[in-house]
Amino acid sequence: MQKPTTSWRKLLSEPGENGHIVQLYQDDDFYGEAISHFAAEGLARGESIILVATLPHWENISGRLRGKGLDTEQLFRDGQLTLLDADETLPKFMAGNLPDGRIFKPLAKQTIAKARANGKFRRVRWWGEMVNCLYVEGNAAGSNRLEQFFDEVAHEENIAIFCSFLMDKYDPKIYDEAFGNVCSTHSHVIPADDYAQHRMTVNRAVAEVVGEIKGPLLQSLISWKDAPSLMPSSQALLLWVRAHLPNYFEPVLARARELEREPARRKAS
Amino acid sequence: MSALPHLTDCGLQGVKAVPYGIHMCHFYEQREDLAAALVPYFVAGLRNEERCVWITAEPLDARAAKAELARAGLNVEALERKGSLIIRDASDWFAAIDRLDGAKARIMDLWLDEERRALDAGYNGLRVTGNTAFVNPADWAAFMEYEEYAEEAFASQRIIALCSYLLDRRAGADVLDVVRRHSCTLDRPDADGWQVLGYDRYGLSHRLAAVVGQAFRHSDLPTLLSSR
Repeated sequence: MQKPTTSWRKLLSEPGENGHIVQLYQDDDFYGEAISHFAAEGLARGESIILVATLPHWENISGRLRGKGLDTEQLFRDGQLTLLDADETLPKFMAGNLPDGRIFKPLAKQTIAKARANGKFRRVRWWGEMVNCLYVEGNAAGSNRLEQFFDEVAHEENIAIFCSFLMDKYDPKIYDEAFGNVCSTHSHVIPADDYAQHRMTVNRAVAEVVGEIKGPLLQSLISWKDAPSLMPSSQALLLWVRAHLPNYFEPVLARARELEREPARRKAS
Repeated sequence: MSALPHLTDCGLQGVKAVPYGIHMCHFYEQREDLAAALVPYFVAGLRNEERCVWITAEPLDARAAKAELARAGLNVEALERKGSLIIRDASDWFAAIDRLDGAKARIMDLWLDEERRALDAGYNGLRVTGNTAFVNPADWAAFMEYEEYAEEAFASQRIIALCSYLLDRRAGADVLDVVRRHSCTLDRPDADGWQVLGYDRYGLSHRLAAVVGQAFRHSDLPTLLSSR
């Protein structure tokens, strides 16, 4: 049975043998905290960690790793932490706008083999943002193709992979294609930093825009076959609204965005 | 269907039979909805020689639950004395659990111990229900983890469980949280009876095939679960 998730921290601590998890983020704190948590938890379990980051983002991540008491320089020397520059690595396997799997997959497998250090580290986990770099550049096809290659590598090499996407979960446009691609290539989606807050926000937005969920609508929700990958129920509810009440979908997203901003506004004032 | 030893009568009109190991849920809005589900559920359990455990909470506490069963013609006192029926308030049953967070294994042990005692005493299985109204909103995530755990742990046991949730029509994500952590949802769209929803969401038919064996056909499941 597939398992829904109640906490992204728990999920990133134990991502499973070949779990392929994606985080949708918009702020640097959530971004850096999730990646450093994924890496620190792997290190604590004696796993080898591969991070493929742009330089500015490495500063965010490494600062947080140091904040967790980890000596990154020592980890590099021990071979337990591998850092690759995303901007330097990406061009090595791109053929025009698309990644070439014949170059990428051997390169990825070579990196994983090196991280295993001749069996010193049995498990490897990988976080990278090359797919996001392509997505942010507007190369959706290249981004999706590279993600498919990563998913294949995760299964072939039995490693957990974590990705971060700069994506606005309340932007209706992402649901036309990008979010579907994300769901089809990942086992788990982390849509928000605070799951409890996201649940309250989406519940309220749906209640205000759609009204009460009762009768045939309730039966439709209960009978729904569920989201294509695992995600909190609040995010799955948005997909249900899109599938069953398409005319309400954009107003629900817009209201959810307003509601999410309210606490931030109150804090600011 | 009675030839299949892993099935038992659910008791709710419109639902023919359910497999042991099933972990069901239903939503209620009023006390009457609770009684309409749980009284026939337990009447069937007692008829099937199962030990029945009803963990109550408002709006139908232990005293009211006993009165409802008595109204259905059961001699509640005698059944309790015999050990066939146990009715306790949630605060009493979970007294040993001070915090839900991190307690899922301990709660599960309560159920598995109870099942073992029921089987040792010669019952066909354990039939349980719990009204979750006692769950504090702050404990929601922890309780959902417990439900996830129960869904897996009950699957291989001679336990049938029906969890009652107060329906908040303005909380769609909460509804999804619940139905995603149960084998199926019992719904009563009208006075004519019940229907089983969402049973194919997480492979109930495959699990049933595993316990029933070759006698089971996947296409039988909708007929088996519902006669509506």
